[in-house]
Amino acid sequence: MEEITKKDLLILTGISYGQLYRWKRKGLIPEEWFIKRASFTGQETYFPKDLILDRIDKILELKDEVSLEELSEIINKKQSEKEITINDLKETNLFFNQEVFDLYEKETIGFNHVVLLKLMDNIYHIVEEKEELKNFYQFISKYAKDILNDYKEIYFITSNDKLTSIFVKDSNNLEYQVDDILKVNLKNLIDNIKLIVMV
Amino acid sequence: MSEEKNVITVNGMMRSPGNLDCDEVDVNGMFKINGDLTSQKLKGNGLVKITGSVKVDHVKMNGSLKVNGDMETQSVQVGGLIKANSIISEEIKISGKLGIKNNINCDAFKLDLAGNSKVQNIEGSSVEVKQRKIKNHFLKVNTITADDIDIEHVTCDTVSGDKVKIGKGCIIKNLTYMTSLEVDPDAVVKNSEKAV
Repeated sequence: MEEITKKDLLILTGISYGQLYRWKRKGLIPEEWFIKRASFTGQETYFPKDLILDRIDKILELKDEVSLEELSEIINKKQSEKEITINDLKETNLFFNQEVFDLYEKETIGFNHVVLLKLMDNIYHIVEEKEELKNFYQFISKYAKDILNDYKEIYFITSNDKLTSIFVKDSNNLEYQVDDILKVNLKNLIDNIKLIVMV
Repeated sequence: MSEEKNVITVNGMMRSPGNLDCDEVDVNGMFKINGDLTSQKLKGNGLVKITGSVKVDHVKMNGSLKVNGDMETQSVQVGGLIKANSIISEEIKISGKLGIKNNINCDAFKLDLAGNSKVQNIEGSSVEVKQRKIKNHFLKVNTITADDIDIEHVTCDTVSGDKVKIGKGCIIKNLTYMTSLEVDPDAVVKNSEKAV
């Protein structure tokens, strides 16, 4: 994963140290993204570039409409039971492939299923056989709660039109030698959806 | 819900055998909590020891506050000694001695040194460390990262800031600044660099 130093991040985004650490304090930027490492100019903090830039964009975009306290509550609280209508969800522009809505049959949708649908959306382009996608969706919607609460990452591999998924609880010691792999970090996915859907 | 508050007042000595969740704790004397403390306020004079973590909105103490776990607060004001694993707060004002094993993440951090202090990292928007009355005490810290930094008698490996003022008695290994840098003739800065 490409990394960016704290200094470059501030220059690139125009935010201040104070803002960065205020957002960390409020839980809007996860502590794991602050990677401390020794460098020739002493200790330097690095960030996963894509993740942090994406998150800062979202916070800057939302911060005029929603207070930091509210944002912090949205991202840190347990997923609400509140359901929203499919039409409202379609209007968020969260989805690239409108076809995934066909997978869901009801009129209203809870947060967990929004995450699952978004997951389908993210893997849509790697699955050629759409019947596979449907089977997989039926499988994960059955265990939605367990998957979203217990697992950190999902890896997807396709071969011969078959979709294989690996659910991972702790990815620190995972090594793999497969070229076509799609990795989804569940927590980041959930947090990003919260910032879009719940605001 | 009634407007009644759960206030714990200690005059003398008290011990709590487990976690404590209340609205206010007022101590004159000594209070030891074997567990976590959750409260809106913690104030008093004397010694407070907490073996767990602390979630208190406002802390105002004279004396010693010793916490084994993490502190999550809105404001902390301590005259005397404060010890903890880490502190998250909007505002910290300490005159005395500080011993924090890990990080302080605080919007406005102010320390009047009286006694040698130590903390791993300080991060926030403003950091001020001064020595007013008692001489020859210092703060030892690994990194300081903030927009406005104004420090005296600080020994630090890495300072990064926007407007940085390094006062007397400081020993800084590496320093990066963005807008301005002032260094007292009495201070030592080994490497400094302007970030562009």
